[in-house]
Amino acid sequence: MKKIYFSLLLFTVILAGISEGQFTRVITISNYNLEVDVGKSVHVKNTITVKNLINSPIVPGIGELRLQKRAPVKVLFLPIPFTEKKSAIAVENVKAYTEDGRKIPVRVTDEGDYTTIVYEIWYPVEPGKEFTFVVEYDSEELAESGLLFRDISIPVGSDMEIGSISASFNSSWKTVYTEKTPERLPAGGIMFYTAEFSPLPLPQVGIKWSLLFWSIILLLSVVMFIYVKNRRENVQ
Amino acid sequence: MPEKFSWKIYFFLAVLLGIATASAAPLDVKKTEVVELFAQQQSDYSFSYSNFNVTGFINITNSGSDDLSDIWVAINLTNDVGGLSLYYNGSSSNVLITTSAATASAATNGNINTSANYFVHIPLLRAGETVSLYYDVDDSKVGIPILVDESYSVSKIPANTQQTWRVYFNLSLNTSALPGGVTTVDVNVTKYLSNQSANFGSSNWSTLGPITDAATTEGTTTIWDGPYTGDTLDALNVTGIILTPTAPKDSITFNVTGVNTNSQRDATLEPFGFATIFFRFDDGVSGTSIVDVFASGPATIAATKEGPVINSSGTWWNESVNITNTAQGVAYLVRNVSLWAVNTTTGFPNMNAVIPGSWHDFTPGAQINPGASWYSGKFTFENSVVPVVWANMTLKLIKDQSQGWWAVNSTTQGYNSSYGSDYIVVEKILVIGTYLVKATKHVIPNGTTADYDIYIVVENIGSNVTPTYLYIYDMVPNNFSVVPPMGVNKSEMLAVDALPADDNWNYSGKNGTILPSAYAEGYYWTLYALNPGADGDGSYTNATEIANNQSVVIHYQVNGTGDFRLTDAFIVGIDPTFSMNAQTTPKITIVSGSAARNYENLFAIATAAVLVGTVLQRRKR
Repeated sequence: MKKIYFSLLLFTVILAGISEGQFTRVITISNYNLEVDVGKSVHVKNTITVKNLINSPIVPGIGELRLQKRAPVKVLFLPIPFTEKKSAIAVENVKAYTEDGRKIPVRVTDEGDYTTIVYEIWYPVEPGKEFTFVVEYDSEELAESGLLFRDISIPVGSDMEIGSISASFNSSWKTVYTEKTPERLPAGGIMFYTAEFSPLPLPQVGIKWSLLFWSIILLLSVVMFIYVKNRRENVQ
Repeated sequence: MPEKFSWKIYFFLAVLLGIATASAAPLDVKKTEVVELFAQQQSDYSFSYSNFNVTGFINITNSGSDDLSDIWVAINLTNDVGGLSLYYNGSSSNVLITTSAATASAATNGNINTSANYFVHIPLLRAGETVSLYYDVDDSKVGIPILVDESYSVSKIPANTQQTWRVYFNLSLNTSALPGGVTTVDVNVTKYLSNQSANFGSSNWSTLGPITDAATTEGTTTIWDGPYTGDTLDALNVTGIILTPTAPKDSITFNVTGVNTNSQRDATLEPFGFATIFFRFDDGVSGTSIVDVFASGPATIAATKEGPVINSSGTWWNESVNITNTAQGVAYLVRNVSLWAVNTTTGFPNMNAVIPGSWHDFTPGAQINPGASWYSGKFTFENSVVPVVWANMTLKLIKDQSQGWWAVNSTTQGYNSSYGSDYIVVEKILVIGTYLVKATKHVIPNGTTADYDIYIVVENIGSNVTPTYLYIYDMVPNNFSVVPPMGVNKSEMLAVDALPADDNWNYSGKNGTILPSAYAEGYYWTLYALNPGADGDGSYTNATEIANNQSVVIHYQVNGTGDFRLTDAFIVGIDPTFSMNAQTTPKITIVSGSAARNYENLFAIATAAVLVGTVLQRRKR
């Protein structure tokens, strides 16, 4: 839960103004599934099920999927800790369709520091019924790659409650780190789906290997440096 | 003792029962199951039920003028939790509660029905005295007897303007929860408007009331000055409602006028008062029953000995027994009379020395009313010495409403010291603190066969300006075609024009691929912000509101050909969160993206720097 609130602060800007209607729920996201294929480019498939909560048919109409990248500022290829840069995400191969394959109109707009995928659903949802649709896209800007590891952290947040939410990652590399996340998301909350991949056959140990591995290497280097330095001083 | 009941309530119940039993049977056994319920309206105007609680009370009262003794009451508790307990002992003796049928049977000489699981013994209950028992009913095993639903003529109201809405308040019997023998349920309803938070109201109501135009399908309505708003005519009584399993519903309607000052941006459920429901029906909901009552009262028994008559065959004696009802107002059944004689000895007679031929048992079953007697007749036996004649009897109070015991079973609402009834329904309405948009669609034949004018009137009847963009949706049914021009009045309010070069088509977007099967085309219009203050009458000719940007009118014509269905044209969509219509959803916005971090390069550079330093150190050596 702490993670959700912390994340909420981070994404306050693009959530601002979309929390209307929390008290009068007419529709809810009953199920949200995120499938992520991680390679050099990342393919994201959002399968979203909405449910009509009122006793009249409703039309979902226009909806938005807002994408924003938060990453450390880089000097050349070096990320600077404790800095952050917000930017839109370049996406391609964007498509949306209904559960039974009917195409949903979709367009992409650049809003400056975030990207919006706008979709239009003109299909009425009967009272108490559900409607499932899929939004897919590719992007080369979702994953952060280093020398031995590739990291991905995808936030999901909504202005309405998500009753059931899950995510799965696929990669030709071995998954060396994943974070556990809640199975539902309250309205206005955000959670992160975080994973790390590596060509090395490392087990999952509960923390990111990119930090653990390089911390060990760096520590060994420092010990070696101190040993050599002390030995030189003793010889003198 | 259940915590929820205070002694004040007990006292009230005792008084109530005292009044109620003024014309009751001499031994009045009144079983009352009281139901508490708190129903509260939700944002979709359905009700959530809570505090559903059923408790049974059994009050055994001597309502006659004769003292009664040796009272046994056989009770079969069903669906109870925790059994039967003494609630109040107003008798002149102790009260015993036992589950032993054998004990009760022995004490009554077999004159009580033992098909029960609890037996209560009151040795002496004088005239006017009461013993009360209680039991808790397992609420999960019984149903709510009376259900409520409520709707309004509007789905929501704007703040800061006087609004009048009609309330449709329906009561219905939950027939599946009622005992099978219930034929009528008497119901009274009192509805209070309230702007006091302590009394199910909201202080955001600057004015609330009056209630007007009240009507009911059962009973009669009376509007009166209630205590919870400070205004007049803010309460409504509906009395004399009679519901039956075959006519289980009552619809109460009335208008409420009020001004709410809610300043919340979001739609807020504002309570505007509550209704208390009073009801009563015969029998209980738990299935608990009074199986039997045994009691006796004032009577005399006289054993008579006559003789001796001495003749050649011996010394003969006559014996008889006479039982007289000396009570003023109760009648008995004479049960289990025995008559016998024993020989006299020095001191107390030897009770085992029964004289042969003197013992007679009777089970007459005769009823003796006040002042009447039952006589056994004379029986003769031979004994050479003077005998002692004995007799005993068992009298059982008859089951009768005027001269005996009588059980009355009923179910009623729980008692609330503030509101009278603990069957409370809290009513709420959605108040929009900012803007409130109403879309009205007119489909009007324009004089030519199968040609129709479509007017969509979009009004902001709220108190604040709407957001920058307002989406209006509409769909064109199959076998209809749109006949241009499609216009927006005024045109400057159209924020996005899909075909800016074509003045005949003014809309923001259309879609014809993902539509329900009955529709051929879907259009939407993105409008600039509407100013507040429209009257909400749906008029498409209100030039003032259009000029003030309080309302916008979208107009086009459709032409129907073939097998068209005009009824399908009556559809229009608008964001329902802040609108009077509920055909479309609020815009669903999902946030996603990337927050990945990888500091490997930084680590690698730092490691390389340390290693370089190590090499340099080694070279210096």
